[in-house]
Amino acid sequence: MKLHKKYIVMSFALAVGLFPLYLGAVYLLANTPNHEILWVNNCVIKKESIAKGIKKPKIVFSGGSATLFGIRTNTIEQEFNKPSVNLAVHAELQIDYIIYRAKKVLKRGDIAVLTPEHHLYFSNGELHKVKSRYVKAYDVEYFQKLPLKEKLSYFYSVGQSDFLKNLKNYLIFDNKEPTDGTEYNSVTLNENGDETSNVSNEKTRKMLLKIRPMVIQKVFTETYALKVIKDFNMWCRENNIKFYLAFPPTVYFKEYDSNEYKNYFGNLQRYFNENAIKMIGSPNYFFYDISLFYDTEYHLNQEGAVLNTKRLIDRMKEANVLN
Amino acid sequence: MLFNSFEFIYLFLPTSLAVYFLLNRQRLTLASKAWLVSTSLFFYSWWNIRYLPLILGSIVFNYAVGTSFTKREDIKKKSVLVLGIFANIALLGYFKYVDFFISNINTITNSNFNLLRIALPLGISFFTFTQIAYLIDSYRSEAREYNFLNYSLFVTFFPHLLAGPIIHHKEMMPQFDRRRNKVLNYRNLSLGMYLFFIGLAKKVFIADAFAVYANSGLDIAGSLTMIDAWITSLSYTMQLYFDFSGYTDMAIGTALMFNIKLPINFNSPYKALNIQDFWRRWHITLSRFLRDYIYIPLGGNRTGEFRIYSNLMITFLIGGLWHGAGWTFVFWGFLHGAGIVANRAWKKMNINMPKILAWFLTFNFVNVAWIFFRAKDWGGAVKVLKGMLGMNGAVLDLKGLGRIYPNIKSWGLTLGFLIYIIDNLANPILMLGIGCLSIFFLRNSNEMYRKFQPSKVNIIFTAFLIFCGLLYMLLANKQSEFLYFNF
Repeated sequence: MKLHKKYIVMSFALAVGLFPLYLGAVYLLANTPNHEILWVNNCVIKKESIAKGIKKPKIVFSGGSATLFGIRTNTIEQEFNKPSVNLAVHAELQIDYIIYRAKKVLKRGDIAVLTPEHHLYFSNGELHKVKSRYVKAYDVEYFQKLPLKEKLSYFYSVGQSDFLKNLKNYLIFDNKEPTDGTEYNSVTLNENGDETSNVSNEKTRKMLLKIRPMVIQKVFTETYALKVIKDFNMWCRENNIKFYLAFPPTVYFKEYDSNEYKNYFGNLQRYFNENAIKMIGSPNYFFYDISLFYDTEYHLNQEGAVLNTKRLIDRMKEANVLN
Repeated sequence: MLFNSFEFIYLFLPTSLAVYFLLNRQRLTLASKAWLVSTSLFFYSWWNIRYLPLILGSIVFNYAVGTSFTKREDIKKKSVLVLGIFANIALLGYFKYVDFFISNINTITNSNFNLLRIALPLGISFFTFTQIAYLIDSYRSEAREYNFLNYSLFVTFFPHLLAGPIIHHKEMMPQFDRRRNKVLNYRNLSLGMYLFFIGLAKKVFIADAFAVYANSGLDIAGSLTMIDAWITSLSYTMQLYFDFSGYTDMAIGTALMFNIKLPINFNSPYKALNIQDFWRRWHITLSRFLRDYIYIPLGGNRTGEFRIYSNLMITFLIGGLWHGAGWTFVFWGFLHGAGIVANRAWKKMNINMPKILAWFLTFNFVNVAWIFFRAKDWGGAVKVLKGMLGMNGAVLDLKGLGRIYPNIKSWGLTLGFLIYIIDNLANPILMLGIGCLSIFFLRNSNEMYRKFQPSKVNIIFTAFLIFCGLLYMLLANKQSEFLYFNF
């Protein structure tokens, strides 16, 4: 019986003892970046520096990489004769953090255009790996402001394979972005923060083969992400910033003409109207043929970006964004 | 309340155990049983308190019927038994089958009656069957319960309340009255804990991982190519086994902590060499119930061959329908009935089949049948079957294999749908490999439990399971339910 008692006590004691060890190891490795996160950070630094360097009222385009690749803000700047900056980097920084970063550069009189990727609307606050890694590595200030439970989730969200990858990076990471063309690089951003390396080739075209229609909510509900956008709209109003929501360029599928998708997009736009969130265009206006895409369903190539920017400008004029 | 929840493992269970044994230590046996009944009803109500009167009413009714067999000499016992069984089935029928009935009427008569959309009370299939078994045992004088508290405990004892094992009164209740069972037993506590955390790991690390692939293929995909379809069906086969057997391990482990031994419900079913063998290993207490209370009363194998076959078929059709209100469930039952009939006919021919072939046929039969069990409708099942037969083309993962065999790219093969969801087809294939390894080559939880020793290795193993389980519970935004809660 003593052995069994010992078994029970030791099992729990060891399990509890594993926790601080695990948390310690995760904490130690927490701010270990990888090439992807390093690229994100270099882009963020560059883009925010551009934005903060603009003294006059400006147009700030935020969102994920659909905006990064798909909008030529230098063209918009020329068209409207108003400074424009492309603040967008990576959708998996998630909508709340994307907005948090946008608020850092927005001032009274600015125009904020947010273009979330469609799947970002479905988020109910789940923590994505990219955001988790980025915040732990480069935004300690943001991390410190989080409630305790959320802070802990940044550590618990580290899976076993990620833990091992972090360990590997901790030991051998060179803290440099690759320049061999195998991954994105922040040096290819132009003076407005737009990505310019999106020239299609055989390899990138093959990556498009796996693209399938987006998965949508079967029943439309107000998610955490939608509430965050709603709150951002209010914040902009309070700070005399004009806010517009735009839709990302994405690959067209014939499934999007079905009632299921039409209803979903209809409900989404109805939600924005009911919450006085101004929109630029509609989702289907920014659906394009796959030949205009670079390497994913959201990354336009150069030709696609030019076309998308033109359409966006037309819709911005229609929505009287500058008045 | 879910077994795989923080509040169950670290609050409810320790409190229930502590108070139960404390009361027994003070020789307050009645109070200890009352405590268990109260905690069990609390456990049940945690899901939705509105259904508490339902289970209470069912207990009162069945107790009254059961005791009438012994206390009342003036009644026609058989009529009362029939009435009792009918009432239980009517209750189950109302909550589980009324919409199925209405939708079939609508289809047959081209009418448009509204569905009632009644929520299925948790565990109703199980506590109904448990009580039907009790009524029949009571009628046969195989079970006697004169005490309402004991009877309530029999039905509501929380380890088996929601999803079995389906137990006989005579199996469980005498254990509560044994003196040595009223004292905290560290051996049973450690065994129970060991089994519980194995079950938890099966559920949260294995079953829930397979669920991603199974759900993607069955619910999201418009069509499936061959590899996607096989991954989908095998993933569900694994998910169902690890989910249900994981639940059962947790139930048996929890009961053992109270010094109560529940019957085993799984015994490596995917090692079965024929369908009869499969049903001796899968959901053992359900197949026991079907055998004792449906197949044998119909005549069992004491009739002519044709009658035996029809008895088997009826039993399995009922078994299929018990699992769910849908024709796909009935068809699943039909498939297994046909399998059992075929197995019986094959045995009569005295032809020996090599074991490896027997296993291969049995496993794939079960795997294919599960498709009907899981699919939401015929179309969903056909979608997977078409894929498995290669009618939508065969697909390989270029991302994973292209690195190893660069020439594959030149074969013009395209990427399958699951790539979109899973990003790397190597993951489900790896998971299936791990699943197959555990199912076919490692000891099952019964064998592990029988050979358990409180050794250093087991301390480390259990500590690791507890740690991972706790991590999972802290990480998960929402606990995943057990699949058999749907029944």
